[in-house]
Amino acid sequence: MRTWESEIEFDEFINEGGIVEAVDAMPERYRAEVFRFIEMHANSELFGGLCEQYWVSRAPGLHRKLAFLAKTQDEIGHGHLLYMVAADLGVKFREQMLTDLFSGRSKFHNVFHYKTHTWADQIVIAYLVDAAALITQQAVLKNCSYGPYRRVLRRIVSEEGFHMRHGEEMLLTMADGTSTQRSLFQAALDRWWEPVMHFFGPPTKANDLLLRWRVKSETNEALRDRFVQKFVPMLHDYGFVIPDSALHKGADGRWVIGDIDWSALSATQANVGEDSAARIARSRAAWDDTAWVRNALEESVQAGAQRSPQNESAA
Amino acid sequence: MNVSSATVPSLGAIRDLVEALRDPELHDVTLGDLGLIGEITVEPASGREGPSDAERWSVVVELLPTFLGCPALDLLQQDIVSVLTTFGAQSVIVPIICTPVWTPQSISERGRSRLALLGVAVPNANGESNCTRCQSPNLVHVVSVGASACRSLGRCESCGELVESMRGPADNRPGVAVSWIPRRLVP
Repeated sequence: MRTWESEIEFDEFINEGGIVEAVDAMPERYRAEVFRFIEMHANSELFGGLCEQYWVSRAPGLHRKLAFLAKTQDEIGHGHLLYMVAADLGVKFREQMLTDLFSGRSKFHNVFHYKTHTWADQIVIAYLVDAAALITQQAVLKNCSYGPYRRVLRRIVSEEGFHMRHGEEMLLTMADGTSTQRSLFQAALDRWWEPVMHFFGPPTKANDLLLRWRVKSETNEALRDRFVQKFVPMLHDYGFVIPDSALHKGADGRWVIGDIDWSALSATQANVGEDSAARIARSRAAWDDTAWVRNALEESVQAGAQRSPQNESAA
Repeated sequence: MNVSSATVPSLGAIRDLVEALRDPELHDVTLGDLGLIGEITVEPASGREGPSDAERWSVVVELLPTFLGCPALDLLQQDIVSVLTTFGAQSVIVPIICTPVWTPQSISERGRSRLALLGVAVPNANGESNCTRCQSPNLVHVVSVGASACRSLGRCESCGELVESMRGPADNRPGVAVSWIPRRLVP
């Protein structure tokens, strides 16, 4: 276990590339910031899994159903890992994080506060939202100062890359499809472009603690720009229109987006977005409906307790 | 019809190509590392169009799934067909076979060390894994099925690390439940 005399000493450690471990006596502000960040990521993985699970029975064809089933498993598994990493910070137990989530007291990513109207909405999520998530996670992975998160993120990022292949395949089906398929996708893109722009976060604050302590390494603006430079030309190539009348190419050949209206993001941050209440209710129902599975597991653990002396429930 | 055996590539060359393909999820390991490739058979083929008969060959590559519902199977099949078609095969068939059953024991030494770098342990024949971070044998089995049905989730009692372990189809040991926290980390 390492200790630091002051935040200034801790800053030096971080600036020299130091990696913080769960057992270290980290400054409380660092602990709180890292916890908040990982808790939100965990919540978002859980909501992502539930969002995909909804489509398992609705996706067209066995092939897509299988893909959504597998992605659901992945996201819930990521949630598992992240809730454990978050719980190790000792701020809240896992049960508390879930209780807070189900009662609307915690945050989760803005894209899970909107309705998915059609199958095309889900394709936009699988392609553009997953891509946005991958860009932000890769940036964190590269240089994150919190060791346990960084190590888990490495596997999560690999798996999100795999999801992108499915998303791309689905996008190609729509782009290459009938005029109905193309207009469905365009309508979904019109609905989702702004939330995707919001996904990278509001304007970076001058004194962002996550940047100062290298939990994140790049500003929201830089990450959003990376996304725009890659996906604007791609969507144009497929013949889709990006719903931003001010979007243009700058003198340096880079795409410049119009001003972002942040009002909808503020609503999602307060859990009063278009679909926030329904999503939260669905997540609580999913938790309640699966209580019997946890009970059965708990019973099998009790039965096997004598065989496993290490077993002890800390919660 | 005379088929010159020299125009049909060697089994070894074909196996090298297929086994060098990367896992679609964990790019640092190859299909060979994971032991996912079974028997390969190559036969001269014939046909009316394209190259002369002497240059035609078809190939069957058996694929062993880590579990039958693996969502990566169709991507693996596509990748195998693609690499061998590029290599000149007229026909590539990739059957998914259930015997022999894939187990974590099929993973090569190189595969084990590459997986360890990702925080994924490979259990021994008794189903026991070591921590990928501190090598401690005190790895507690927490959840039978992790982020994928071919991986379970464990916790190192010594350093607290979250370690996933490769999981065979027959491994259904119940875990100690996710709320379990190593003593060292209990706040």
